[in-house]
Amino acid sequence: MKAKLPTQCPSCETLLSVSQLSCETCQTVVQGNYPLPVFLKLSPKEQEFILQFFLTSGSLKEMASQLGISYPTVRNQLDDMIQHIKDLNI
Amino acid sequence: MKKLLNPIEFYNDRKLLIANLIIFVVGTALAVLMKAWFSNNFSVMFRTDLNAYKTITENIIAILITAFVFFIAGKIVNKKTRLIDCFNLSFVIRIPSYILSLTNIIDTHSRNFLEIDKDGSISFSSSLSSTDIIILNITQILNIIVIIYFIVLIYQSFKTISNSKKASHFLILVILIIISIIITTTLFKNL
Repeated sequence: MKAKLPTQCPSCETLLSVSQLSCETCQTVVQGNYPLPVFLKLSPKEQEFILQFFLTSGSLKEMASQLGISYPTVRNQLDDMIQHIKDLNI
Repeated sequence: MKKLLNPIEFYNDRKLLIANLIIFVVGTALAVLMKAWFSNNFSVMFRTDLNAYKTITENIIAILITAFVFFIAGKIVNKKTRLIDCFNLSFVIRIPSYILSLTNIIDTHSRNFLEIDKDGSISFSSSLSSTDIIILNITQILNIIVIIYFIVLIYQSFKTISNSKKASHFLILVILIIISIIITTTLFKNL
């Protein structure tokens, strides 16, 4: 089973940051405090949406037909995501 | 059930428009045959005589005005609102009217309309048979279901076509709907 990367603190729900990275080959460990990339700050559903958007060459109509929903529904999801990313202050 | 309460969310716009146009033709023919007429863009009534011209004209005007109400309200809320979605919603909300017109299948509503006497008392124009009473009761129940369906359908679908989230967005729609009812009531009286 592929472990799911946690992005939110289970205690206070604040976005987590990266504090340790390790090399699987030589076991080198890098420690520090790095913010999560924008993509990882989004929910799994939003990440899936972006991937789908990319794979359909940005065609909302094609996405709608693949997902079995209407064009305005997909457009609304995209608009909500744009607003969410803007709210993340990036 | 979800698809019934918000078809705009699930169906392809063009396919929905084609289906709506077919339903419009069949529904209008049904309304004509059932002697239905539309006193405004949200209600259905019955007349004593068959008047195809009035029923068809009223139905077309009702669809056009309602679609423009959704479009104007949608454009105020979200500039990305599309006319095709507004037309689809306008067509869909006519369907209950066509179904309601079926309750006049044996002329119950056409024969039994309320009369106001000289002394101010209200009475039915003809005596009611037991079948008439059953049909009138069924119509009442259907009316309540249709009103609830209207509210849910308009709320959910408008949310989808304009991505509305705030109460103020729906307030704009309600104000425009009230204005459209006043306009169509006046317009249909003079047809």
